[in-house]
Amino acid sequence: MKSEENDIRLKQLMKEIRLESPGPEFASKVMGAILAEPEKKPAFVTEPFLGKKFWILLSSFVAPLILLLVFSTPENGPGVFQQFFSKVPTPDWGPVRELFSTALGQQGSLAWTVMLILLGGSGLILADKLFEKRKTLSLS
Amino acid sequence: MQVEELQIIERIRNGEVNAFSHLVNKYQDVVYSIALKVLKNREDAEEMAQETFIKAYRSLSSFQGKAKFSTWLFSIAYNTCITSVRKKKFQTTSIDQVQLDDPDEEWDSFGLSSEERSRMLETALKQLPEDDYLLVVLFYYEEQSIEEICRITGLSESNAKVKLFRARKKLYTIMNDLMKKEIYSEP
Repeated sequence: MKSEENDIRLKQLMKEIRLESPGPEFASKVMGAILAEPEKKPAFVTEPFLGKKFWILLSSFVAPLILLLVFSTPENGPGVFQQFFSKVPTPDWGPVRELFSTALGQQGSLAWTVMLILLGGSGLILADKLFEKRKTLSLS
Repeated sequence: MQVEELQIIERIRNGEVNAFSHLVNKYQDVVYSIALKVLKNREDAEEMAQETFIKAYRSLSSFQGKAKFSTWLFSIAYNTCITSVRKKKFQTTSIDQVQLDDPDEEWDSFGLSSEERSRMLETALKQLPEDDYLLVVLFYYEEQSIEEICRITGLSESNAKVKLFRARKKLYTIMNDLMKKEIYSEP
């Protein structure tokens, strides 16, 4: 307690003092030295707005979606997709489609769940980037 | 204050190099005082303070804003001082050169005017060994926390606290000695 009082008292006393100052030209000398070396300006790394992580996640979502659109049959997809696929004529891919349909049938809703997780992950990274960007802009 | 500095740093990062002069003007006295205390020579101190600011400018891209800018700058200044001392094999003042008369001693500034008190405190600060001077200036003048001082100096928290306690006692001892001298020298 006594120590805290001493600290406060000394901080108040310190506000009244003046520290040693360099010469009056000090700041201009420093700035002169900084401006004289244009090549040595700080190398600020420009980070792309959407990072590598985002594109990896997005492509891992898009790739299965394309595969689904190409190979799936109406009975494979849930609710909305079933309606969609029933209206869109699917191309006859023969044995490839059969193989894919079998695999999807065995997986059940797992494929959709994985896709939703990937989509959610991508969305979160995008949101994080957007908030970060907004924070930086508000400071400048 | 912290936000204001971050804004300045952002401006510098966006190419407004001249904004750095605000930071130089704000911190030049503290950086220079520490350098002067260590090097005991005005020219060398000015050179080292200049070097500190140039280093800080060059490394500004690595400043992430997790710590205060002043903490980051003082750690550069401190390391520049240490490097300079090691190069020159500078003779540092022993930490025990100032004898602590009374562990509970405090400074009785009763009866002193504000100017006299400031003058005496400035004189006492000049007499402190550089380690103690650094801690006192950072903690009491710049109001850096113990945690921030640890970041600057690399001391452990307990060590920083003990050293700071001792530094304050030394400062009070010196100031009391100065008071006594002044009283006895009065006609």
